[in-house]
Order: sequence, then C-alpha cells, then structure tokens
Amino acid sequence: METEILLEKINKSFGSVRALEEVTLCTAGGRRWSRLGIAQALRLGIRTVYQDLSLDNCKNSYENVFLGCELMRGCFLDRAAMRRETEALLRRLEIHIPDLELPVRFLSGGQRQGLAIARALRTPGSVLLLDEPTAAMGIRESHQTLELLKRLRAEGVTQVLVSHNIFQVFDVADRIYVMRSGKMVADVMTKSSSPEQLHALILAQENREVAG
Amino acid sequence: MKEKYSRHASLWILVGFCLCLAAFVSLRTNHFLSLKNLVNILEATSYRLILAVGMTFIIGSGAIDLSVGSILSLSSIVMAMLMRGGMPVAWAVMLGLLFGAALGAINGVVIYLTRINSLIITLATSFLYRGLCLILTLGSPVTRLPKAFLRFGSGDLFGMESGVTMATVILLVSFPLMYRMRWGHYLTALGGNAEALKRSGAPIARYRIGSFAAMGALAALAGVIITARLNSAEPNAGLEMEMSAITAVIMGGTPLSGGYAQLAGTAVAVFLLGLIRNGLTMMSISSYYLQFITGGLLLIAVVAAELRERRNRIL
Repeated sequence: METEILLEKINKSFGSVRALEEVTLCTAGGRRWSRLGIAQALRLGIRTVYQDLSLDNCKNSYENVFLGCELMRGCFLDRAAMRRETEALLRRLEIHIPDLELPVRFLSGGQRQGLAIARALRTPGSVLLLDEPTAAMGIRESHQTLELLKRLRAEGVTQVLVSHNIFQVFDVADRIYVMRSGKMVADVMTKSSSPEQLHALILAQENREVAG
Repeated sequence: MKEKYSRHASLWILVGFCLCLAAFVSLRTNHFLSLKNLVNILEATSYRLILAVGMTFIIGSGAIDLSVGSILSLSSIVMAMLMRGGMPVAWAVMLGLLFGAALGAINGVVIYLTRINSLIITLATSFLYRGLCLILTLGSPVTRLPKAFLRFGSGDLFGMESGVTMATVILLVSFPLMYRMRWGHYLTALGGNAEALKRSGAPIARYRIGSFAAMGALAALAGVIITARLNSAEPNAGLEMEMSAITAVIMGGTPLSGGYAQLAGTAVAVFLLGLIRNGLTMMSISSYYLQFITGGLLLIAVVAAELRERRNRIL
C-alpha cells in the first residue's frame, strides 16, 4: 500500500456552520500538505466521489467518465476512444450500464453511482474519498457498491468513506473515526470494536453534552 | 427507453413547418419562391443568424445575454466615430469587434466573479451600454461613413450581401466548435452541471468569460452589417434583437436551462422567422401580425418541448 493520508487540525466552515473543528486523521504513515487546490489534489492522485455524484445529466456515460480530462485527437474530441476505455473500465469494475450513449439522467441511481465511482478510479493512484456513496440507493444497489469498495480495498486503494450507517462502516472499514458537531469524538480500529460498543460510545458522548 | 429519446424531433417539426409555410405563401403569391426573394430573406436574416448562433452557445451554457442589442449598437457607434475621425476602415472594424468582445467580457467577468444570475447582470449592462450610446451620440445617429466601409458591409459575393457569407461561415464553423471540440463540450457542461465541471479541474472561468466575449464580438459583427446597410450607426440599433435571438434559440430546441444546444434548430428557426416576416410582406399583410404570430409559435414550441421532456423523465 503506497498511499497514505494525514489530516492535521483541519477547520472548515460553511457560512455559520462549523463542519470541521481541529480534526486530525491519518491512515498508515502520512505526508504533509497545506492548502490543497482541486487541480493539485487530482495531480496527487486523490479522487473524490461526491454525495451528489457530480454528474452532468445531459451528457452520456463516457462523456461523464472523461469530464474535464477528455481524450483528444488533435483539437477534436475522440469519442470513440473514450467509449472504448469506458467500456473496459466498467467491465473491470463489474459495473453494468447497458447503453453508454444515453444521457445519464436516464440511468438508475445505482448505475449513476457506479459511474461516479468508475470515474474516480479511471486513472491509477490513489486515495478515494467517498461521501455517502450509498445515500441514493436501494438495498441491492448498496450491497453491490459495498462489494465494489471491498474489491478495491483488496487491490490496495486507500478509501475514506463518509457514512451514517454504522453497520455499513463496520462491513468495509479498517479504522473508524466518529465525528460529531464538527469534532472527532472517537477513533477505533474495526477489529477491536463492535457496532454495539461504538453505539455506546456515541450515546455516552451525547449524554455528556446534554448534561454539560 | 432509447426509441422514446430523440433530440432531433423538434428540428424536423420546424423544418416541416418551414416547408408548409413556404408552400402556403408561394400558392398565394407569385414571386415568393423566386431566387431574388430567397436572397432577400437570407440578406434580411444574416445578422439575426449571427446573433442567434452566439446566443445558442450562451444559452447552452446555462446563461443568457440580454445586452446583445446594446453591445451591437455601442460598438457600431464607436466604430463609426473612429471612421469619422479618419481611422482606416479595416482598423476601425477590427477595433469595433474587439470593443464588442470587451463589452461581452465585462458581462462574463462580473457573472463569473459574483455568481449572480446572468439575466440580472446583462439586464443591467444592457441599460449601461444603451445609455452610453445615447450619451456618446446625444441621441442622433452617426452618418456619412466612408465609401470603403459601405462596400465592406454590402459588397456582393455570389451576388449577395457579404453579411450572408459571414453568417454562413460563422454557422459552419460553429458546428464542429459546438459538437466536436472542447469549447462546446465544456460550455454545455457548464449548463449541465457547472459544479461538476469545476470539480474536474477544468478552467471554467476561461469558458464562461470566453463565451460572453465571443457573443460580444458576434454582436459587434452584426453591428457592422447593419451599420453598412443603413450607412448610419444608430443609438437605437439592435433594440430588442436579443429577444428575437433568444426566441430563435428556444424555438430551435435548446433548453433555456442549458446543458445541451441545438445549433441546427437555431438556424432553421431564424430562417423560419425570416420566412414569416417576408411572407407577410409578400401577402401584403400588416407587419403588426408578426409579433402575434412569433409569440404564438414560441409558446407552442416551448410547451411542446416541455411536454416531451416530461414524458422522457422516467426516473
């Protein structure tokens, strides 16, 4: 495993909402950055699957997979090559989309989710950030997505998964951080913990807040 | 699912409508289908086509530009004043086009930086620019332009005004630009999901500002054609021309929300509106009916497009 992440004392506010307060997080090892821009992060091999999926609904599957890094032939878009590579990528990830030419607004939630993940995994790297990847999915589709994440873990892709489903987290994660009101309240290894134990931890924290 | 989905349906309806209208008017009159009259229609629609092509890129990118008519007029006036001041015609025209692009770029920069709706920003700049026209000219047109300029605007390639050639070249160049190259791909992505494009690392400022600058330059070019035809740069030139451009774009099948652009539809719609304008004259029907008919057609076009879109929305 080559990739590693370290976040140290990160603060982030959206308007008056403090989303992160002095948060420190790391996976094995650690490399230091300060103020990382989007282009920089992409160059470092950090890929993000956004909660809203970040798909252009008017464009088709392969145009979305290559959005922002289109394959060109001279100054013309090379749609045939983009289609070819997307087909290969989806086959490798076992994501099934019957018609790649259809604008993605006609695809199901699961297919769109698969596409967003496939886009993040198109180029090798890397660290994969996933924000509520199963939020818009049914049970079967969520299951497929989680299986995909497990396969990726086996391939050595470091993943940071944001989720509010504690059982899902226990299913796929090595290490769990619990966030509350922008603060880190717990940091446990999955092996040495259980959902019940984590529940108890969160409830204790809540009680302390109510009491305080 | 796929059979139901077609982006070209409205295009064929428009083409069919054009043919029906042409057939109807040519049965009622004598010279409608003559070559001379067709040339007439092309000449009268050339500058409208130039504006509508630019507007297709703007609307495809999820924006709108209401200042097109004002930019047209202001850049024409600046151009005419430069020529009256003794500047060579070619230089004045070049500067006029650049000036138009700069006015458009101002729109683009303000919209990009403030992220305020382009409708409001360009409404404001349309008054600003139109106001400048009136202030610069004190309300009276700039006339008596050099002979060389008049030839430039109304010269006769293939026996037609050069505006027709310019509009044709611009239309032909815009197709690969829109559908085969990065420029159009990113502009429609701005309309489809600007945030997604930004997250992908694409330089969206360049495309947002560039599209408005291009629209400004095209408005200035339309101004060249109109000014040369009239031999006068009018402070009221291009009044409400942005509306007819928007009408043609929407009628042609480009959604007002952007994300996708239908250039061929725009071209056919511009031609259809020209056909109606000309047909009314040929049948000696008062031009008062023009607005009424245009309004009715636009209403039918948008309602039909919306109904089709709702049927397609299977999600």
